Amino acid sequence: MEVKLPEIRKSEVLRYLGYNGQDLGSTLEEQLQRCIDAVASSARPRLTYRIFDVRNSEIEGLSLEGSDIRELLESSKQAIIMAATLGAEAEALLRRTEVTDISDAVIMDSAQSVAIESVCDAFEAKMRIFYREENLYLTDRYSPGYGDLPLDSQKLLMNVLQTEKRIGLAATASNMMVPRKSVTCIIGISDRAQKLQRSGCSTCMMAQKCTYRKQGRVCNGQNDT
Amino acid sequence: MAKTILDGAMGTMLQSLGLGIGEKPELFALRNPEAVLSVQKDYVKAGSDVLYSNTFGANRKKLEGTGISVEEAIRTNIRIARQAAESAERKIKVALDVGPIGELMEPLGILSFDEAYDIFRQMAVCGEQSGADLVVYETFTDLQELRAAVLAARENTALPVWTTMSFEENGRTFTGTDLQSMAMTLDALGVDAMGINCSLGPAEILPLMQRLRSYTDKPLIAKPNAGLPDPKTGAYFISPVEFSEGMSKISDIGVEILGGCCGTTPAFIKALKSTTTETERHPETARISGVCSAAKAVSFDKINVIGERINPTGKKKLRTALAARDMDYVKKLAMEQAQAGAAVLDINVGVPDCDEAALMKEVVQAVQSVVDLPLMIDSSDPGAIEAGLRYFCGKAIVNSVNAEDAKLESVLPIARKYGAAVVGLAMDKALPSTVEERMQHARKILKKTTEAGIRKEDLIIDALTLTISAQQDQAGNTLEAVRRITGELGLHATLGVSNVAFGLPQRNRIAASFLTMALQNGLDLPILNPNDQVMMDALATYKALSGEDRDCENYIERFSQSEEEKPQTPKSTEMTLEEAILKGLGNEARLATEKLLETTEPMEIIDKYLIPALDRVGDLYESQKLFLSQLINAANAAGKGFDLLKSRMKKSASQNKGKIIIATVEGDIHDIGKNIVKVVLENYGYQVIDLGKDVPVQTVVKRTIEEDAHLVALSALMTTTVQSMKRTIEALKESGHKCVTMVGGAVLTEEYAMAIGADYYSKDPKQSADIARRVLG
Repeated sequence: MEVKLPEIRKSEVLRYLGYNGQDLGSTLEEQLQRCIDAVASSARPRLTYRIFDVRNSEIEGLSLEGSDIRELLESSKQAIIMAATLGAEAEALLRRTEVTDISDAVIMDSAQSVAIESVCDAFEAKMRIFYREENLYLTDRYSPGYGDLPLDSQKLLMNVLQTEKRIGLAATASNMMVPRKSVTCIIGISDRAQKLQRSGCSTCMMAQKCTYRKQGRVCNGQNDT
Repeated sequence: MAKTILDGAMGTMLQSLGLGIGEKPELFALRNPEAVLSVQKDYVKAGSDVLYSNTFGANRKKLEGTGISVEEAIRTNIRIARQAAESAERKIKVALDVGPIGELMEPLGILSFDEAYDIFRQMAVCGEQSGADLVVYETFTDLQELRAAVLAARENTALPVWTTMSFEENGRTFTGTDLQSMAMTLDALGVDAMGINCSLGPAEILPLMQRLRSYTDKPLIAKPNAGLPDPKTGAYFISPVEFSEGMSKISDIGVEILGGCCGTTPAFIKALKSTTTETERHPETARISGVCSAAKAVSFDKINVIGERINPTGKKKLRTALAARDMDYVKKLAMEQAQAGAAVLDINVGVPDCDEAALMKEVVQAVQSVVDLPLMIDSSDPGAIEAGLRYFCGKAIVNSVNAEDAKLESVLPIARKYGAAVVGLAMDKALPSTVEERMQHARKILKKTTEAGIRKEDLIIDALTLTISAQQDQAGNTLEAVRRITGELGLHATLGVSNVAFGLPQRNRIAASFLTMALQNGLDLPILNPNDQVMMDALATYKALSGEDRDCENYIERFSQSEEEKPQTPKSTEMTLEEAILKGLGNEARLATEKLLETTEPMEIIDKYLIPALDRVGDLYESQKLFLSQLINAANAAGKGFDLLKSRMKKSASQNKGKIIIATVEGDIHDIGKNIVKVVLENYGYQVIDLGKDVPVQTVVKRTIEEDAHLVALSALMTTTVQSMKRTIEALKESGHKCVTMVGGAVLTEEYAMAIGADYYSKDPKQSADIARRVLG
């Protein structure tokens, strides 16, 4: 189903670009806004999810490798499996812009990363409120590639959600999602309040390629856990 | 007419018989043939006239690693369906059911048209051998993938071909194909029936089917889901009765072939069968004349501009770009013309000493990756025409045939096969001089195209524009011929408009008036340069006068902004070149370079101003005084200055500093990082040959040797694709060609780069320039 795109925050886009408090100047400010607007008007985010039963920390009918996901689902009775994408429209925008202006394209690429993340955040927040009313709590979002959950399990999640049919999302043989600006994840539903751990680099898919970490820093001023 | 009833869902039925989550239904059938047979027998009892075999995902990509071959999966499942079909007295057909491959095609994904074709060929051939009565392609969302599938069946089997695509409520597929483009494209390819499946429930599909009915006179198929699923459980809610009520409305608008998709059961099909009655075929269904891309249909019921700029005749820059296979330049030309108002783009790649068919394929694929306009394949080489028509996704125009028998015989069958529209030049071996000669040729071409099975509405006659500086009397003859071709013969007319003024000063003044006169005589597909303001102004004016531009809306929009109101670009700057580059201001950088040129030689400007400024930018980036966007803007600004200098340098002096091959490795489609490095290197004066993304190992080796390049820059973003980087480096070394490799990309580190055998690791664009300087000087 198609979902609304939350506002794309300029500060977040800058963070993805490795911004470090430099003076932007009016030209760059305008360029940023123009690129963000282009992304916002072209993206058609779509999202699909299903709820599965969890028994003994395992999602029923789905054998996922690794101990981290079991740990995440330790107290969960159910789990949400979700996939979201910005759609082929977003890819087309980048394809065109890369030819005409690589600088715009780089900013749009970051803005799209922020956009898909905010689509997931909005979904998670909505579900959190919904389940809170039933005295249930959600765990963090957990994606293939985090911790010891292999990237290969992405195909399994896409398969159970039928993402190709539902939201037009597929993967290549090397586990690259197409369209690229897409996310698959698992969220546990528990009757116990959850310790939120999201801020740590160990649960971040970007941990291996993060420019901040390469520079010996972490993003968002939070500590590496 | 009598309705054909299809079956309902297979997957959801098998789940209730033990199919596990994520298990492949095609393989389940090998373990449990009885389960599949019982489902299909139930559909026969419910009234299905056609059974879809349980082979939706039986392609070699999806079966890889299962130990089961495509042949085994298809043979077994067709046999089961046949057995179920024979359980009834009446004749029931078995359709080889084929779904999308499961990996997305270029340009979105990395699956090529040819590979997709081969996967579908294998399935279709096997289906026919196993005894299927027809092949049905369903749940497709990419029209190009569906085209590959249809061609695979038509070129390798005698099976009838049915197709259905899956749409969102807005009437588009996930990749953007609309109903009209689907109808035109599939009509052109000659499928036997088309329609919509899956996607939505009958109520949501009804308006879409209504629209589709108006776009084609082919038999239509509707196979919707049992309503919309509950997101939480994936379950469907509407009852068989509700479903069949919805379906009978779809049947009433003249849809002949009806069935159910996800969530439907034999009970749904039984209800469907009992409520569906014969209907009159709606006679008002008329085919729409026109052409289309995958996402845009252009109707021939108004004036449409054909953009002429992708044609190397007399254009040195394009000729050079085509020879070097610089697709970015071609893409820019395509986007500019689309922006300027072209409705169709002419594609001519005739440069000497090149494989025209291969180049046509490459250019068509490049152009359609950035614009959604239909294309006109312009060549005299039948091989290049076929390549263009095969790889273009949509319905194209062939430019051109003339009245010579040999020409007609070689080109018309190709146009017919792909269902393309055809431009016929009103000439034979010699150019015509009278109106009557032109008419005779036009009549002959009409007769021959009709005999070849090409519809009259797909024929466009070019009455030939000759230049008035040589043959002044011909302008009148051309105009009169256009009037009679469109009036008497009722055909579409095209003209290469600007030829009329060849050899005269201010060509577009003559051409614009000639355009107006020709439009008045019926010209509806003018070929011109849409970036020529004077011509496009004349067109806008004509449309306001003729009434095509209702209430002069477009005219007012085009001309109401006075010159003074238009934003002005500054004509001079006080900034130095370094300041302009540091601030990333392209226009100022160009102006500052211009000022320097008054006193300084171009080469000196590069060495003393441009490169030091770029170095300074690099240092500031390294010390985090600038961030990524500022670095790129600075490189772009330097590029503006550099372009100006290149144009002022004498040929010998403009020799660049050396060639660099750059590519994103096989399997990886992330190319932004690579493109940033390219821009920076170019602005340091290197000739960068960009091979693009997902570049096969052997292509990198081949082009490096061909270009005799000695520095190869490779990019990979994912851990999984660093392995292709390693293979590429190994292959380069094995080739014995002397070259140095530098690698970069998010997951790489110095150590990792060395471990895969790279000569240099470049952590950012600045460093890639340093390395290039070290290697090439």
